[in-house]
Amino acid sequence: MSTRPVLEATDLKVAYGGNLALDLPRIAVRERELVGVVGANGAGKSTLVNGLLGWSRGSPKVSGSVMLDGKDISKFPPHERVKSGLLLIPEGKLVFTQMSVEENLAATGGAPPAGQGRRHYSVEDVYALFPRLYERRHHLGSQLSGGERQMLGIARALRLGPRVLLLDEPSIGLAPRLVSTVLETVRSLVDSGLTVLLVEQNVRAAIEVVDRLVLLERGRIIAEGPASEMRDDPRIAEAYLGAHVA
Amino acid sequence: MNFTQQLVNGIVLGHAYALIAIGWTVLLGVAKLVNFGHGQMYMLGAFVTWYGVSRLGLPYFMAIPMAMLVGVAVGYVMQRVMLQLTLKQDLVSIMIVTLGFGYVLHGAAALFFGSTGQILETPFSTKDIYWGDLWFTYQDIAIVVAAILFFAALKYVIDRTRIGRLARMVAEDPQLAQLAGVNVRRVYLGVFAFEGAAVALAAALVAPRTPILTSMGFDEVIITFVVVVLGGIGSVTGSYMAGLALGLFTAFFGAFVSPAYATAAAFAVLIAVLVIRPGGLAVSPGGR
Repeated sequence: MSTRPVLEATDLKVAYGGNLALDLPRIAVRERELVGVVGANGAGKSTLVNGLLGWSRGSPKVSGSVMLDGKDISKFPPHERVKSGLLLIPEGKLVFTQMSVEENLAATGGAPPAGQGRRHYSVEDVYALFPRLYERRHHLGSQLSGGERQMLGIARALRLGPRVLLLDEPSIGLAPRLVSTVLETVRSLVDSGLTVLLVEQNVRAAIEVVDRLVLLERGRIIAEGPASEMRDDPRIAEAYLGAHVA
Repeated sequence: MNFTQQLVNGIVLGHAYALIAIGWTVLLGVAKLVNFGHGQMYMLGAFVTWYGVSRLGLPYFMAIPMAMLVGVAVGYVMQRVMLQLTLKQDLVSIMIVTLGFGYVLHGAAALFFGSTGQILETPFSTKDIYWGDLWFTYQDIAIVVAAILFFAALKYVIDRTRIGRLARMVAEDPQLAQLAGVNVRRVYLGVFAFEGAAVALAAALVAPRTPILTSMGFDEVIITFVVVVLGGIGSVTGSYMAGLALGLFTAFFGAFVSPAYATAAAFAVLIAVLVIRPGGLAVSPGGR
């Protein structure tokens, strides 16, 4: 694992109508690293990944710099950041429900540029990764189950040639067994060379797969470190893993 | 007033309505936008075609693309001006801005083309066809053929091509489309340019049926509104069916009841349809 950050944000601030929802001096993700961002509801987890992309379904004010491979992309509109290889799988509505699985996976632009650490996934590659999607390739997005939508969301992002993948709460609304399946898939993507920032409310499941954990509270980082160390951190253990620390 | 003649009139009228409405169908289906300057853009298309044919001496087939290019330019400028409103989906402001654009176009056209009525004569409009008791012109055939070809091509592009897929992505969820790397602004600009070209084409084909005036446009925008809503907002097939149905209804109602109340009756039907089927006649909304 190299130490050079692939994705680095400094002084990232996001405000909704004058309320500062996120205030991070620095957050970085290194090459081939799986970073988990955890925290309670309203801690600013989604705000963080959306802010990195300059994207939102609301209308927040975002400031600060976002560097992808040392290149400042903070002035780019969201679709340009996507084209640079920063891909977000949002929470909630993450696939086109009126399109078939096949169409969701069809290319929207030209082939993503090779090199610069970006991985190209063909339709066959993503079907190999998610055989279930191949079986349901003619179904509409709206006909898929929650787990299948999550797979399709990830597959759709992979098709765009990711440099860094940002995943917003992939476990939400999924059965416990599916949660670990999805998270293990994310882990295997990282093991095969991808760089991922994972936002997760399910700390217990996330800590099993991530390399490094970042704990957010009220829009600020209150603890971060390797997953193995964070497991014993009293703030994590007590509040999220249900352990009683004397 | 025999039945078959009314059927022919209705079919021609219906295809004319559908053709006039096609730009709005895509506009509403993809961008969830309205354009109340649509009628004046129709007027402008008719006058540019007329200007090309009778003032510049261009052949009709050259005047049509000229009118379409002017339509593209007007549509593009309009959307460029109100892009921020579009991105915020501020429908009320868009309604007023497009209405204002319509009046500006009306004024500009009156200044440039004058306020007297003109006849747009084409090589087809003066050639009659008599077939038994039936009478129609080659222009009527051109309208029907052009409408069918245009709708078929549009349906193909929207359902089967990359551009159509991008448009459907933006139609369903513009924010999610951004995350798929789609330049949503460009799609909005393209849709408005298409709307301009489509209405100009419709005008070049349909306007020769009646005298043209720079003050026209209101009827066209109302008919378009009815066709688009009746067809199920954004549905290409639905708009075609709705245009045809409205044309047949107007022709038969006009012939057998009274032409004076045809529009009122059409709205009564629209109200009834919308109460029974709020989604319009088409089943699947969203650009299909």
